[in-house]
Amino acid sequence: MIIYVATLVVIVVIALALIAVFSKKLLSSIISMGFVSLGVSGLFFFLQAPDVAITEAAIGAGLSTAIFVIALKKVKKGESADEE
Amino acid sequence: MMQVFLQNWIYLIGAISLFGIGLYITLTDENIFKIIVGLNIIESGTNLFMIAIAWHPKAVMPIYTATNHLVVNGKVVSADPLPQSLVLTAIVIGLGTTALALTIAVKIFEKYGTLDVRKIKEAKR
Amino acid sequence: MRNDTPELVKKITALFVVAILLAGFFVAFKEMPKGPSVNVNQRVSRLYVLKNVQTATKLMKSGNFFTKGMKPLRSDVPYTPIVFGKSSNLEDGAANVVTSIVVDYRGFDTLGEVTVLFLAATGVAMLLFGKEKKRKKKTEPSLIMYVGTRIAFAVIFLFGIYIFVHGHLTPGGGFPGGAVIASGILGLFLGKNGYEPNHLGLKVFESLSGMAFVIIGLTGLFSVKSFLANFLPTGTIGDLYSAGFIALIYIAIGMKVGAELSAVVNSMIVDTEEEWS
Repeated sequence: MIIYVATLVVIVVIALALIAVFSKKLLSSIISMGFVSLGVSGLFFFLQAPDVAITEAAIGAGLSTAIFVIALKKVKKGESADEE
Repeated sequence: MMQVFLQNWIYLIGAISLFGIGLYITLTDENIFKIIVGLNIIESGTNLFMIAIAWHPKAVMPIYTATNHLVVNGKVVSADPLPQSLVLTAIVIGLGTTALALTIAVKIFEKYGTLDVRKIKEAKR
Repeated sequence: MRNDTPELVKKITALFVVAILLAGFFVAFKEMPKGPSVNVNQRVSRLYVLKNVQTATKLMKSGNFFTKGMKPLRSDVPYTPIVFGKSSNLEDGAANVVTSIVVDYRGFDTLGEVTVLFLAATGVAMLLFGKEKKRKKKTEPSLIMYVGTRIAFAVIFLFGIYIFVHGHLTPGGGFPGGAVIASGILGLFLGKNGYEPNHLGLKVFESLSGMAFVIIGLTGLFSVKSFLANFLPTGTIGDLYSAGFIALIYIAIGMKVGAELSAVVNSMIVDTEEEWS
């Protein structure tokens, strides 16, 4: 029964990664990467590994996305738009 | 039948697909920040693969509590704890790599004025 | 790839490389063991858990690594089942098996990881070095942000300390505890323009925690016979005062990671300009 929920989560994660490939703006790629980290952290819980789930949620979906957005803000000052 | 197939293969298919998508982003995009996004997706896929091979369909968590027994009737029934400790190390090191790569990208932008990899290659010549 | 190959050829080559790698992975998966339980005797070699080098050399020379109907792995200690709250004086008495592997059995790798994280934080702080630029006119955050982040920081800080103190009983440990503390400090940066943490305090905490890790290892070297050996008594499984020195090492790692990641966030948020521009 749990295996069907896990299948759904895997399909959603692969769809979000495909959004990160084909999007034009840079900010939506970064947010999709944050959601991929969150989905993978949920999958770690279904695979009976609670240590790894807490670590991936705190670091991947928390600090990594925040550091990306901070670095993007430093670059955007010289350009007028943030694509290409 | 469907349940047996899903239990054996679904996590491995997900991990390998994430690895393939991340590798495609790294090879074909021209914006430096998007290449670093691809690196991060590769790391998530690799960690998922390593935890997926330490699991079998009747596993329990490797933590001793009042109701959780790891060895039942002489058979070890918990998930394998050794790959989980290796992945714990790998996640933290991925964060350090991402932070340093982003700093170098910001300094490249300050020197060359653009984020396009092809233009930087031509400007260096 | 030269500069004048068309875009489509480059993309198809990238897809081809990715497809070859994925096909190789799928061929390798057919050799993985599948089934309802794991037979540890078939997965772990007998040489991995032997502590005696002479016995291991004799076994390797006579040629039996894997045998099908093997006895339990250590033939000098009889196997007794472990009960939560009653078994005492085990070899490494932590209730969280992953923690005991990370700190006790493979503690040297954790020392290497702490070193790599320190190198990355030093590199970031060295590249983004300079005098602070004066800020142009910017809008201040509202009062709700200022007060709300300060109240939330107290609760988040306490939660982070709880995670790394109870590392040997509940899932977690030093690394997510430090990351949670750094997230709390990131919230403080958003509440006010120009917030500055105490630079001297961050440096002192980081250095003292790193030294504490190595000093604990050296104490193990001088009292028992090897670096990072467990020299404190392991009590009953499930108590707070159990599992030797695992709690002490995780306190050192948690404080060190928290201070380091706060310094990284601080270097990236502050606007600097170089001295020679």
